[in-house]
Amino acid sequence: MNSVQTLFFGIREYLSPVLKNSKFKETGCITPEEFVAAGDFLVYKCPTWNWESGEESKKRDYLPPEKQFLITRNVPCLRRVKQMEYTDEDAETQIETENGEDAWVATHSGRVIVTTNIEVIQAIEGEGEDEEIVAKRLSQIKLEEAREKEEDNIPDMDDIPDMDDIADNVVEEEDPAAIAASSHVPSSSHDDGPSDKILQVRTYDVFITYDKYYQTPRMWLFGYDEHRRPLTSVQIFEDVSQDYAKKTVTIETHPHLNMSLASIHPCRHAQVMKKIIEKMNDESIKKFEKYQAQLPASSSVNNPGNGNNALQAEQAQVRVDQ
Amino acid sequence: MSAGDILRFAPFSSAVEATFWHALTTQKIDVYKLDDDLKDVLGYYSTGNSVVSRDPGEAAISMPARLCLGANAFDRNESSSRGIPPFSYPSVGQIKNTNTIEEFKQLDKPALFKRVADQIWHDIVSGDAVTQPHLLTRFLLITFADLKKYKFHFWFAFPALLADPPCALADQGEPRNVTEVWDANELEKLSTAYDAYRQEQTDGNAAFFLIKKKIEDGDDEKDFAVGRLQDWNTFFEGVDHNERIVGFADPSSLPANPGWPLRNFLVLLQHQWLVKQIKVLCFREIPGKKDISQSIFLTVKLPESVSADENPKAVGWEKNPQGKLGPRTADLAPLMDPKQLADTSV
Repeated sequence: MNSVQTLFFGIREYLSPVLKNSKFKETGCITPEEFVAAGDFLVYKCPTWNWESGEESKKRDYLPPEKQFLITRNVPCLRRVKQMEYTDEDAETQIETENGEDAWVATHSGRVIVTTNIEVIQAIEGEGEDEEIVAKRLSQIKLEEAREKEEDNIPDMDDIPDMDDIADNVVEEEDPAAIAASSHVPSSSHDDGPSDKILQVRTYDVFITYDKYYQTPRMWLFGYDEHRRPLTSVQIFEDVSQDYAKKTVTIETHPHLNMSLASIHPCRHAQVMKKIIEKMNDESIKKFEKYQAQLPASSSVNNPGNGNNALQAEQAQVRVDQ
Repeated sequence: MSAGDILRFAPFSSAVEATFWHALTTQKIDVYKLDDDLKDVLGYYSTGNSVVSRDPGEAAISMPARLCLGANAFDRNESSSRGIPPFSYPSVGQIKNTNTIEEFKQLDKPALFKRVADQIWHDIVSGDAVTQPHLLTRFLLITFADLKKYKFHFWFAFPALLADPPCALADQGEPRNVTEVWDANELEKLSTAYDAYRQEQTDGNAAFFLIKKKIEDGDDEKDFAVGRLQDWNTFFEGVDHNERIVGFADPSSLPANPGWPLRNFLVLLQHQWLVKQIKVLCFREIPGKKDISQSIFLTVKLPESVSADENPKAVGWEKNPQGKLGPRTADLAPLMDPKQLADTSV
């Protein structure tokens, strides 16, 4: 079933033409050139991201060979939350747009501290036009609340061949200069040495690829558990709100790697992007008008004080987009 | 920790990316076939930093000192610093991939371990580790790839030569946060000097370096100079022994414990330049933020001499999740097995 589907997606991608002219303002879609430009900007602003070329056989010729997709690694997922319980604080709020159509959902709207993956959000700061949507979508990925017992310390014994004798001939010298390697997960509370301060947490590698069919960027997540074993799709879905698991977030084959991993499906990405651009644009224009109104008649726009530079720059950026 | 105490180091935790197993599979099928000799692999590590939770009630969290292997581990470039992510440092390793599980079990692991440890010692004695300091972080990886079940059994070793007696903290050399040693202005200068240095380096020179305060006549501003190990004599000429500082990219994020790479580095310092006591900057940065305020600073007292006649003993097998000496298993069936993938597709 999956292979048929993969084949279908492959053909569909092959047949869909490469977007040539920018349609960002009209549809929220971007061209490969715009993807590369936005990616370059992201790498420049947040150097933890970098371009990779991926599998040789899976190179897309509409992207530069060295700039096939973006990746940031080892993003810690601090919260070990399973069975996240929804309280009033964790309520989801519909954010209505002005005409009431196409609202989207904000998670944890009642909460002061948002328990999302801080590092992911930080890592994608400055992504320019994609920033908000990505942050928004990522915030849908709920991270766990963390104090319970970690249950997957015990490996499935059936899976491991008999290794009893394997370490027999390995004997280590006495080594007072090493601190005990910590295998602690956040559930441990007792304190018996400095190693306790090392926390073993889940980490995610985050990828952004260009989706030729939907003509948008696409987010991918690959997770590792506390002991650096790859998370299975079942485990990854534990970190994803059940409302989105297997709907917005699905497991699919990475376009540049021979792997399957969780992906935030891009089907509505363009529309949401368009809405965000329009909203940002309107807000910026409002801000600008307000700012102009506040200016005394004598001080011209050509001679702004330092404090106004940011606003101007913002306005300029919006203009460029237009 | 206080003066005279043994300096204790945070060991590496292996962190293999799933794409590495895929690359190993390809390599095994297309290149190695039944050849199970030791092969070179390229790993990398980044400096440690603790993560501050947004929840104000929660303390900063230290992450493990990860040694990572990615999809590019088998690409051999002329320069070891290529093919690894930004803000990371190269570490060369050797992989022994056996053909059967029995071979994996029966491998003469102590002999393999000794081979890598001896190589590190050899690089220290010959001076290769002075020009290519990344050789100090050599590691060993033994694997068995069960390709039918998409299971990978593996065991890392990060050999550290034992100093006898162990290195200790010097008087008033207790680990301190770098912000207690230098002010913000000085830290910025150091960070700028190091960034400029890092730009030009290859072969792990970025990971191990020398630091001194620049003294210029009539200039009260304190500035830093950063240099390569191989320039030790010219760099530290006229610099008092107490003013000499060595730096290394520190994967540890613990406030009082430096990371594993310092161990072999100290042995090198002892052997090459007969260092008895040295100030060490454990360099830790927040990637891309030009923030090095999590670095720590300490002074180490080295043992009198490591016997040069015989190879020093070494430790460094990684413990498994149960905290015992033993291999680990990565099960990639859910991610690579077409049958299991079909079950999760929608």
